[in-house]
Amino acid sequence: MEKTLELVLNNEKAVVLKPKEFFEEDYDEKVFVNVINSLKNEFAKKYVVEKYGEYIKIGFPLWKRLNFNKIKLPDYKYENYLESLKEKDLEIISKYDFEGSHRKFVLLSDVFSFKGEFYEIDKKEVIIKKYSDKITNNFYKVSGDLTLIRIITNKIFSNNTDRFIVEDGATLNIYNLYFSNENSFGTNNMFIWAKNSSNIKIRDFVTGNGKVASYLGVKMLGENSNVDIKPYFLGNKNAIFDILYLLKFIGKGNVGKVKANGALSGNSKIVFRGILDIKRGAKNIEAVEEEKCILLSKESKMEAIPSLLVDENEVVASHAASSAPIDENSIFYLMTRGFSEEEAKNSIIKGIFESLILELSQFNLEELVKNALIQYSK
Amino acid sequence: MNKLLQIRDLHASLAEDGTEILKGVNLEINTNELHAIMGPNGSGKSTLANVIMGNPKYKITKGNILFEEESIVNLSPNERAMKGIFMTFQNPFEIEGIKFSSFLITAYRKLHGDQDTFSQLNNILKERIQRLNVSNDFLDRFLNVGFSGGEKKKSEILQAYFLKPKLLILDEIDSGLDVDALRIVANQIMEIRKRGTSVLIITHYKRILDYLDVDNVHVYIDGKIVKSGGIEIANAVEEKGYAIVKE
Repeated sequence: MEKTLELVLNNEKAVVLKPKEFFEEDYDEKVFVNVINSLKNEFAKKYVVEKYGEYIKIGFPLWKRLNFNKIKLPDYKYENYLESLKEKDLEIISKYDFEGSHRKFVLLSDVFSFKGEFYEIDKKEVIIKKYSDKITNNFYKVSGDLTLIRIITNKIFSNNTDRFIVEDGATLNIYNLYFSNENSFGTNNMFIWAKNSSNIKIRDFVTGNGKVASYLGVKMLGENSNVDIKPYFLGNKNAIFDILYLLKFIGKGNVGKVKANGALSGNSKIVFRGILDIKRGAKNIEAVEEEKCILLSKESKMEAIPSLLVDENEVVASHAASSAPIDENSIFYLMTRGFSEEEAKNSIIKGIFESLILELSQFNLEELVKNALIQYSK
Repeated sequence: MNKLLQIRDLHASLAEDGTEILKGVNLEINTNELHAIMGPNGSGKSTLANVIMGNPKYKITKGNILFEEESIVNLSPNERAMKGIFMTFQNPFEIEGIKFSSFLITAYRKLHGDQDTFSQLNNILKERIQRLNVSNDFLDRFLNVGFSGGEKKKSEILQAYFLKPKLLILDEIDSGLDVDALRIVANQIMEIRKRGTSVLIITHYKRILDYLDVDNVHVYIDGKIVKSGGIEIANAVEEKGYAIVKE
């Protein structure tokens, strides 16, 4: 299983402290019995029983930064994709497992997902998925060119888990658009195993007033892959976004970049965790992590928690973070060209998202971001 | 000739800590005149440009600035721009996500209304960039983002031409330009002048003034103008440095 942090040096290993847990309001055994009874596929049954064995031993994490200490799970509705899978498919899924933001949430999808599919993409394909308050679980085996667009609206609670294998020379583009309503809580866990010369592009857009815990891991197993991640965020009121990006460099010549940009107002907060984990032997790689945040109120804040774990000499690795109010010089510059102060500020904030808007326009989805900006400026 | 800009005993300080930078500036620019200000580093030349434009970093403590006979000291920078004042920046700011051509057209419409169609304005811009020796994607890029030093200066001069100001303040437009780029920028300034725009150019070097028809040269030291005259002043500065003010 892919752990998020593996702090091992020679024969010494550091222990990563786990958060305290709570067990209240979890699905009870009756729900699990329903899951098992609804499965006819014996291999799937075996898989779920195994996962449930781990699931019941773990509680939900008490996350201080997210102020997360209670949960309201949706009523269980069965539509588990495991039913249709063959033994060999389940063997693949079992092989590709990960810890995520917290193991409980990954297992929650494995055992109790309402929706999910097993995809084998060997040509050019665009998939658009819309979720609202769902527990989902998907597996993608990409040997062609996949563009996946997920539009996720959190009203109360959602939990989405996705695994990807990107084969030699394959292309994967992901657009995750999260809209979190006030008092909602959404968790998202994604892990990508990249083989040789793969091209991976990820754009995350997180907006709204709720709480979002998002985790994305990419393990560059092969050589010469390119991973380009651009998270965008727009928080308002009491929003808390706790987002983690993990890039694991195993093979040679890989390039992995995370460049985040966004704006926060009201009491909103972003916790940005970026982990660049460069293993011995990952020569000639380039690892970059940058976070920029415009703070539109005194109360809003960004906590950047970078981790550069470098066990190889021949690498280029960098990290930079900045959070500040809108640059007064830029406002003045635009005002000297006839923009009012308000127009100048709005243009600068909108400008952060312009590249994303342009990219989404090829799928006619740019209005989603534009509307979020309109709501935001009200 | 009409009085376009009148600066009277202007004192200004840094808003942050009250440090006085402008210490009694007097200057008059008439329509269709070109004035040059020369002065050593740190004398407050750029501050003068910023104070005329209304940069909130500075606070006027005494004196007045009149534009077309009306005081502008209480106007915001955009209100001054609407009146026809334009300033090019020494180090223009990079603004992500604002396409240069859209920015120019939006600014034009704010300053001059929307009588001209988008395609008319776009055609003017396409025609203008031919004269600047810049890449074809110049107008498609985000505002000054990733521009070289020379491209930033050309971006400023393109804005100055396109937005048709009455008074153009050039703050060290020549710094960092190679000989060819300097000639291109100077030609643009002369074209802008032909339309009747007055120019105030702040510079360290005489070389750009050789391309321009200069009416007045002012030597500016420690927050005020200490000597004024014709182009011979610039020649003297070039030859002897700022010691000429003591003569």
